[in-house]
Amino acid sequence: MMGHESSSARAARSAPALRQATGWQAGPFLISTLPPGPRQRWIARALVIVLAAAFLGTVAYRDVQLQRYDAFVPIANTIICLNDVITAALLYAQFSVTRSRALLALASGFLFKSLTMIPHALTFPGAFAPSGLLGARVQTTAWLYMTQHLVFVLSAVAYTLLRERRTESSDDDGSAAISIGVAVGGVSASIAAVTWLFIVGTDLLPPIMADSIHTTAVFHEFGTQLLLLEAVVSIVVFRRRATSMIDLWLKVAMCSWLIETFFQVIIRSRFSLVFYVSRSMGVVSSSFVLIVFLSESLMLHRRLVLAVLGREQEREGHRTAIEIVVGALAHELRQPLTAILLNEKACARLLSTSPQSPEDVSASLDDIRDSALRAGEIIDSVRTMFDAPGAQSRAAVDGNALVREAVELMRLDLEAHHVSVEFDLAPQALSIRAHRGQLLEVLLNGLKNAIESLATITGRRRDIGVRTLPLGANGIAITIEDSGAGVDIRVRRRVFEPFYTTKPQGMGLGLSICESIVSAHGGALTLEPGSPHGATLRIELPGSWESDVAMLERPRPCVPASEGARSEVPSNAARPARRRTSFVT
Amino acid sequence: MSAILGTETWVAIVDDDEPIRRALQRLLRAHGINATAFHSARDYLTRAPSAPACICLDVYLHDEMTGLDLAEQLRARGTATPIIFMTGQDRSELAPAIRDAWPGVILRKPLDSDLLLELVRHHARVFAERASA
Repeated sequence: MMGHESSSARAARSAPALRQATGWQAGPFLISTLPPGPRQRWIARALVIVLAAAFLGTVAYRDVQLQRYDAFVPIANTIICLNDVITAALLYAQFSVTRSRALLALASGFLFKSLTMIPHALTFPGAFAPSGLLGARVQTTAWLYMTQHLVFVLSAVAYTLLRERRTESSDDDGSAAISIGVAVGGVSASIAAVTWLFIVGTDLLPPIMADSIHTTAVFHEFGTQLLLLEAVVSIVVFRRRATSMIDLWLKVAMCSWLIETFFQVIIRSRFSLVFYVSRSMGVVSSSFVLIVFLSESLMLHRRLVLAVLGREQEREGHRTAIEIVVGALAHELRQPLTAILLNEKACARLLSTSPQSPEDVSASLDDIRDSALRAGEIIDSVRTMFDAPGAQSRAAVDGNALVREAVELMRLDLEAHHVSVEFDLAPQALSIRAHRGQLLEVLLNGLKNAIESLATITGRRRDIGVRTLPLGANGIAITIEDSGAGVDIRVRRRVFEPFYTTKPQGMGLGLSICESIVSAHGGALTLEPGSPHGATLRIELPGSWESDVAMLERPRPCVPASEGARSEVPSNAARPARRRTSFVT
Repeated sequence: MSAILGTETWVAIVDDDEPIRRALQRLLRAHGINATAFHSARDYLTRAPSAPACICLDVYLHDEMTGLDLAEQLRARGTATPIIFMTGQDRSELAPAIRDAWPGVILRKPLDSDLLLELVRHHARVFAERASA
């Protein structure tokens, strides 16, 4: 219940609050902040090489004219338009989280590039109408194409320059939605204006198309100027090392754009080989950028979800452990408190009546003192349970007493679920060197799991069998056996993995923590199906002597006597001494 | 311990916690109420010589027979002895179940001793009236 509330509360938290809370700039949680890995750099380089190779392979055949496919431009434009509009949306979403003006500029550049594809396709001669729709002139489409290149290049410059001042320019005032709305509105309006200009005012501009197929010298002139501009911009963009995924893929987009502009310089006519290759290149690079952004975003999302889940489950685990202790503590403390208050009332009554009985009063006061001391002991016992972990606090622990204590702590849960516990404890004292609080935690977890698996059982007794057995020379095995729902064989292998849980409420970390505690004690934790039903959790803890020797022997590699005679001396000397001391403890 | 006769008004305390048992008995006696304490349900069933005016009964006796079991058994025998349940339980999981089955009083520990005394006195009065009638 509590976990649920906190997760929805966190989901409702606004982006600025999140940024403030997490100190965010450094966090590699977005494609705009995630540094690209070697794999990403490799993919980017490979793509640029492929594009350059395609360019170089085509240059020699610049005069080759291919068949005219009127459907080609609308199809290519549609793909690029969709790719870029999604990329723009992704970048706007990034902006709404980071409020980086650089991202806003880049997103608007992508949006401009995307939306210009619509009038471009509509006005393209032969695509939808022999001379293009919207009353297009011969020059209209080519001018739109030039403008598109120019604006996108400018947005890349804006991104790169604004990015440098990111820390100062990212302000929190004003809503992201308004900024995005203004940007989208501005882009749409300027595309409409530019389209209108190139349709109505085309005569005022120098002719760049001789007819609907062939370019003019002016076209190449403009292309060359554009190329020069892009070259300058590329220096700005490429001078910086890519610090984020967006930086890296902007470089790829710039490369592709540069190559396309090279084509502009050499292109003689539409529907030539160069024409087809350059448009196809636009499709490939825009698709690639989008695919990479999407897949990286999803990967980041997956990583974030896992991190959030992990934290959630960790806290859930802590919460239940604390819940057990607080519940038990409350119950335990109520007993002496009740006795104290009843005695106080009795004292008051005894002192106000006559004849007075001093013996009764003093007996009552004695009981008050005893109860108060008992309350103190209860608090002390909880403190020792939460003692700092570590080998220093390991001490001799009586397995039987520990088992009884764990069951006593779980009493409320056991009674609430009508579960009875049957003890089958070894008659002799089973003492091991262990961290008491940690082992108690393991037993509490085991009992809690057993109770939970019994909670759904009807029609047979809800029993938990707790057994202690001597193990080896000095060790102890504790089993917690329930007649509950049991553990599926397939599931059994996985229950010790962190985050794995079969319970609807979660708390997957429970058993994995238990396993790490037990293995830190040199022991083993296993979960076996019970017969005829239920499950048995078996905790095997080696005795102090065995665990000490095991710890002494494990890290030492087996060294042949001839070579490692010297290194073996200290270990040989240490072993009997260690053995003797551990006998004493 | 005072002699308990068939019609004598007395109150039974059944709780597995010895300090509480003793303190409650001391309080009731200080108020002139004849109280006898039992450490378990079994102890009550074997030692109680007659029906008490009421039983101050711990819900969860740490034994094979809980306070609830004792209450059920007494009801099954047709005994109409009023029961004042006492519990140190923090959680409400079982409380509704008890409330449904036993619409009487459930006191939470630490006990409200004034309320407890009032209830016990009331049951003692009713018991005495019925005995004399």
